Amino acid sequence: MSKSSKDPLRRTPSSKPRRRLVPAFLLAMLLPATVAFVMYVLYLDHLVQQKFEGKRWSIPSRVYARALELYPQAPLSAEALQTELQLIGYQPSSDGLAPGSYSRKGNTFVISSRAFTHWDGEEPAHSLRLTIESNRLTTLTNKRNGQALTLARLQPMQIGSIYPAQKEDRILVKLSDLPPELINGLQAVEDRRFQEHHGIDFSGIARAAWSNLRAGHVVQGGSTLTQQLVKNFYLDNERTLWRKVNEALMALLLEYHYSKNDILEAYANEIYLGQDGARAIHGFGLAAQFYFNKPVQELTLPESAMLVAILRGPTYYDPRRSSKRALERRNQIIDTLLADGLIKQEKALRAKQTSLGVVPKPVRGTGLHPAFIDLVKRQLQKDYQEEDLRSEGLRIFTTLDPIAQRSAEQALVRWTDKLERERKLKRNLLQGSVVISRVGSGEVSAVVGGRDVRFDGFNRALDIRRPIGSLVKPALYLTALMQPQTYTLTTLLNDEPLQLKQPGNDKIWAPENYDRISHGAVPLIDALAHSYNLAAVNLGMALGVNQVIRTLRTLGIEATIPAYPSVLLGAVDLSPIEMAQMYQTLADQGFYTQLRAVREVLTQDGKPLQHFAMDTEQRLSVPHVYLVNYALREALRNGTGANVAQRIPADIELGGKTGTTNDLRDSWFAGFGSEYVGVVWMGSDDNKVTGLTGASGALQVWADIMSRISLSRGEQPAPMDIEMVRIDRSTGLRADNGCDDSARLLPFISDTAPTEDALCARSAIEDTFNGLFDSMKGWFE
Amino acid sequence: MASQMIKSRIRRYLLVSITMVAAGCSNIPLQTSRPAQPQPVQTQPAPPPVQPVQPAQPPTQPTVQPVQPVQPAQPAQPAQPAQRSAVSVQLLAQAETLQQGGDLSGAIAQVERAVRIEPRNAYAWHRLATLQLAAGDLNRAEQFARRSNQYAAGDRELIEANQKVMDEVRRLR
Repeated sequence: MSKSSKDPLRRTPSSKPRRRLVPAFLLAMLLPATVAFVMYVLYLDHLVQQKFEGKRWSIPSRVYARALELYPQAPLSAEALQTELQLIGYQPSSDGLAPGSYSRKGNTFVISSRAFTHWDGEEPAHSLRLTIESNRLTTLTNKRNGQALTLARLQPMQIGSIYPAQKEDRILVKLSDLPPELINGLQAVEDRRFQEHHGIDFSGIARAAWSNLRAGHVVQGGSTLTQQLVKNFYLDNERTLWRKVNEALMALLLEYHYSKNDILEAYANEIYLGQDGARAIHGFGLAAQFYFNKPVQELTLPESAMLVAILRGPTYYDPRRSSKRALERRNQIIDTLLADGLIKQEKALRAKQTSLGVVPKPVRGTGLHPAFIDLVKRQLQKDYQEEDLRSEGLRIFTTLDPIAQRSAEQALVRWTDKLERERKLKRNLLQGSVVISRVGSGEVSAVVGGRDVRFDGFNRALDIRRPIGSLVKPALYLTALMQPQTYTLTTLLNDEPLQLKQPGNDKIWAPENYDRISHGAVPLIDALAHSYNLAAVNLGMALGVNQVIRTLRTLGIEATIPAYPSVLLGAVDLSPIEMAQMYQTLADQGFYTQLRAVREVLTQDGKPLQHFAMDTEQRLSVPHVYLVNYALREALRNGTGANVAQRIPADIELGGKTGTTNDLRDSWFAGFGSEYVGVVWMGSDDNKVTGLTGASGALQVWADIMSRISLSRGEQPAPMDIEMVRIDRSTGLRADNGCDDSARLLPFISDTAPTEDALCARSAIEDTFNGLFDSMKGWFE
Repeated sequence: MASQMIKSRIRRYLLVSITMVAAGCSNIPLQTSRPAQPQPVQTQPAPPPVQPVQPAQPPTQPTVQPVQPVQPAQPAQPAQPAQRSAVSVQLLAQAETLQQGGDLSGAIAQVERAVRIEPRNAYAWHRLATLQLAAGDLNRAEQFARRSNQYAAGDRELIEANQKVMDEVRRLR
């Protein structure tokens, strides 16, 4: 990883002649002191070389969100696109023609995107014009020549970094990347004789001393760039004479071993240029990004001058807080460049009239989505040591969808606040967490670990374990529907009280329905949709608790589950992410895909390190799972979720299950549409009663998120081997046109639908027959 | 020390990719009925193991077509997302080029991208299956073929092609 070993500019040691200045007799007299001094210098020399040759900096790993893909027909809202553009730091402008800017007029965008090296290939810069209608990208063309484009992607948002202990951040640059005005300006202002001196500039010191004496206080420093580099690179901030001596010696040694270009490049990467919360901004590469949101190569003269201006005191001259001061100093720098003949007068004048041009502080830094980063770390910790993540400058491409993440964060915050207010709950009693993942790939789009979404602490999405309540039921009903000859959606189940002995103790367990009423014989689909507990336990006991647990395992639950009958009602503590895994397998119709948050890891210089290839495993038969999912849609639209579901547009295909635990402590909702799987948990950290059911708590958040992010409309086709049959609601038998009001269309695995006609169907036939008979009679009258 | 670990990882990664490519080469004559025997090392990249199903339309045609604005009169998406949408045609064509140039992992990355964009594209899942078969990852090949069937919606030709992949996986196991 050593940069310098590849550097052709490196000068071989001992290219300068050593001079013997000290007479021999003096040397003999001062021998012990000299020996000690030489030893000390050798020691410093070792330090100087070791650090400069080795890995000079710990570079934090950069974590990127998924890149937004733009293509005709892409599901995308204008608001989502604008948010994405803001998040990747693109600036709004009137024409959107400058690199990294965009313009929006209604639903038409012009975007000038930057080139970006994605893990699977280079994306060139684009000049795009696109329109969005009814949540769909309708046209995508090259702004310059009007040609239609098939596909373009934006650069991904940087969602965070995994930092070294000291939280220094930098983007390494080569000397050749820096604009000449920046390098010249730096030398003109900080170290005029840099190219001539050997590390210490005595005339500079004299000049500085004279200026300071005249001014009565320190106005000018005599430190060379080399000394400044040594101070930052090797020494602490102590202001002692001893340190000054070390600094001078080390500066001489550094100059002795390395070229001016090497030193300048190290300086350009080391220099401290600002602060972003706990993150220290070092080097011109990151500073260009931090202040102007552009690569250092694109800096203009006034921008270069500003960076030189603030390096004396990044806090004092902070262009965001003290813009006037920063502007004055920037213009002084421009004057210096002009006076030194480094730029032309006209250019200087124009530069001085330019505004500072600093962009708002970027919305990234350390703690943007800590709960998601937590998941990323856990996925990577199986393969990497924490230390490597913090120091090797890895580029980590994750699956985070910033739009979904923001929707999830905002919904959780909004609803916990609102519910506390409306229900007069103790303030901050409610907590919650959210996991959103993508149907098809199992890629995690969003993780919210609590109400304080920026708090990097207890992650309730991954670590809280609570009874899952009725969230378990799809596994139970799936176990039944896997025997299509015995169970269909219309099979009548017995919703009657029962008493069970728990294994291991003599306690009697008598489950109850939520409404404390038993509903008699109910069709299977309604038992699931209305979450009847007695029907569930009766069915589960008939199937066998172990069978149900086996189905849970098939769906992706890896935790050990004890085989108690109460498991049938979800008396098992699991985490939201485990629920997300279970419902992911349902959403994918029985294909299990382990949830994942990372797609690819690249080394600092862009070489692939690890690719997490897409994976899947069919564990269940597609039609079996389709039946359960159909019932889950019924549960949301007409069952326990009905009240909230009214708010969701009817043409979004969504389904899911509420979960409520004893005494209304935990409120769950898990479900999915054709694009996303979502799980929401709501409850209190110390397991207090919240008074919320799955529907009144978690479902509110879930519906809020899912109706925002699900943009696909219309039904997905039923799999093969499924036939749709009209069924009479009260009897579960075949219906026809005679049974309009009470009939509904239900799916069956081929050849398992009831064959018997319902009464209404029969009477309809009779009616028709009688009608015909009557009219025939009429012929003879 | 840390950087060494990384380096050794890169080495391992390269080794694995090379093995994968080599495995792909040894699987090449899938369509012929020659008995499985060690194949001589081929110097030229060979054709894909299982002929991908031909797109219903020539790839050039749909690249222009979907760019036209959709009629707002049809807010509902067609029940079956366009299987040969311009974007998937483009990505699969890129994958084809990469595979022919011997870059299997590059080809897989392109098809994975297509699958992410259109998770219900049966044809993209099928290509992922054939590519993993070429890469010698039999489990993935079989599972992706099954996944393709999940969305094939009665496309006989595609279902047969998936069956070929699964038969081949069984033969190689």
